[in-house]
Amino acid sequence: MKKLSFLAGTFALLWIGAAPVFALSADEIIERMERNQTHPTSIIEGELVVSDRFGDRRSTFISHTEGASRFLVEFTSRDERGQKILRHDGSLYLYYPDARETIRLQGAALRDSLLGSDISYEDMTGGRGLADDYRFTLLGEERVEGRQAYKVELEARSTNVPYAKQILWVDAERFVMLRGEQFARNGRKLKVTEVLETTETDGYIFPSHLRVTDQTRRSSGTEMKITSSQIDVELPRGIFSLEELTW
Amino acid sequence: MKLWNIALRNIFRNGRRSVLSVLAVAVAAMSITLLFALVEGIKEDVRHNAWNYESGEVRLRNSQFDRYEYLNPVHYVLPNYEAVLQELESMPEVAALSPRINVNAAAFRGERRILARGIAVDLERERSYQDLDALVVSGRLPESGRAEALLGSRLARELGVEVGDSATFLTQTRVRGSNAFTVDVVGLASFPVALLDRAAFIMPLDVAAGYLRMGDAVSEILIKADGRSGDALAERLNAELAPRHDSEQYLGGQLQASSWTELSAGYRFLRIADVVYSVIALFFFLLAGTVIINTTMMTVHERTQEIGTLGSMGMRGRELVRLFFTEAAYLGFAGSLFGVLLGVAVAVPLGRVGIDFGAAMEMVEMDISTVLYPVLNFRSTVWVFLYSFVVAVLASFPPAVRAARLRPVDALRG
Repeated sequence: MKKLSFLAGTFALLWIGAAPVFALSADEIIERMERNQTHPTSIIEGELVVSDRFGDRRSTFISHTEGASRFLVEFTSRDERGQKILRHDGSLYLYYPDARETIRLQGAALRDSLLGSDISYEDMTGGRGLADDYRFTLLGEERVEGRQAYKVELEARSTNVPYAKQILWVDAERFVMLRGEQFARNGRKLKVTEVLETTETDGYIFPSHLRVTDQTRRSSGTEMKITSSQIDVELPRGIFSLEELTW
Repeated sequence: MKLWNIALRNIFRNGRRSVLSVLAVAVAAMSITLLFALVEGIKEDVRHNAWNYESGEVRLRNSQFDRYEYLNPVHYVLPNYEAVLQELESMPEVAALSPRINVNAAAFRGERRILARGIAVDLERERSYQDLDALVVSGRLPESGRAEALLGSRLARELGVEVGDSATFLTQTRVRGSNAFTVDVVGLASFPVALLDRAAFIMPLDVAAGYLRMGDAVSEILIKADGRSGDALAERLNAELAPRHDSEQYLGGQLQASSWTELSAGYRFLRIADVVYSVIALFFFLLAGTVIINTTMMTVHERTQEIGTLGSMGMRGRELVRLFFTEAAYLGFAGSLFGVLLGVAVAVPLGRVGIDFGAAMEMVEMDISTVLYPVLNFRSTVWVFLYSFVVAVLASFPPAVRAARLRPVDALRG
């Protein structure tokens, strides 16, 4: 009897231990993905290549982030040198050297595109966690670019979000997004995000090369590449302040 | 007794009916005189606004800009514009030049994005192009080399700024990036076109060139010629100037000249409106003509026995018709003259003080001002007089013919 109980208990432990591999909920999948993308602090350098019918345009940037809700992006390419974007206390601020005041973006203005790219300022402001804004439904599993991925549907809880619906394909092993599609309320596909490469730094796996295409614009696409990343580093004091923005 | 004497006497025999006929013609003549004066005023206004704020008499641009204008392709510029200006200045038919940079911008107030349209001009050169001082209602014009702007009054109100404040605008640059800049509001303007007053600001060309990374380029050059040769000048510029200014900096486009007659929506509208208003004028006169017909028929009916007497005394049908024609001619002449003079008397003062169409013009997307000034055109006024006179005379024809066909014996029986 004792032996039977022991076997049953061991079997149960193995079953429970193995359970996440077979029965992860949509919430858990998204949470693990966000854990990968949200860093205590980071310094990331990269470039943005915006393609449209007129050709390609390249910009470089350096980004400082703290958690999910604070970042400072400074553009370092010649044509945008000195321009900055600050996320601070839930608001987005733009700084241009030729302007004597910062521009605070709110409401509909957040839907404007960043440097004419397929990425909007609103895309940059998701900081509360997707669970606050969306309900998740696991639609199953598919293979994306040779990797097994969870397919998760995100349905907006309110109208106060950029997209009424999203579908994300999350790498089943590494919990990094491989592909995303964003939709309007009427079902129209608005954007497609493809992760072309990922990188791992200090145990965090996140996209290092992705392409965003705005489905409402012709001949349009934006690629973002990370050229260097440092995670969990000490950042300069006060870097996320409005004073630092204008310095 | 001569026919014209008889006709004149007959007119005064029933004064009220004659006055009614004269008034009918006069009202039509006055209305059409005013209408044509207003249309002339609108034409002049559209021309003035198009030449000063939109296209000039001839506009030079990069052809690729026109092709993709809806995308605001700032990078399609006129490079090396000073060289182009030098060539234009050597042309005798060119009266004034205005190199410009169009600054399509946005300002932010809370959640609102306020669209604005900056017109960057060479303020020294612009003095010979248009009277910018006439636009200023408070403050002054901006100065070259300084980050200053003259804002439309409504735009300033939208932004919540006054003279002495500053305004920050976000715009696109020639390198297809974005930039924001701040200008001091040194003056407020009252633009005649409502849409401009709500959105436009004027700033120095050299300052805008820096903010938009334009280098030695501008968005366009507006040209004023002599008012008659715009089309021909545009053709000549396309044939002669464009091939001499072809470079990589045009990014696959070329220097293109367009006459305002092909660019101005207001002009195209008025070409059609001219025909429409002429048809309206015809209807007005036909309406007045029906009054003449009516009164003449009543006269024929009342004077049936008299017509019978005249017939039995030897007056032929043709003479009867001439009699009624002459009466109508007197009435038509008096009505036309009175109506035209009244129209002129109203149009002249209105041409000085203007007619404020205010709210009606708010959303009109053409170069038409909110206050319009009727302009009398001598030829049109003479045409109105002749038109109304002829219609009045012709209107008497049916009843006159009817009277002429009456048999004297039947007419005497009544």
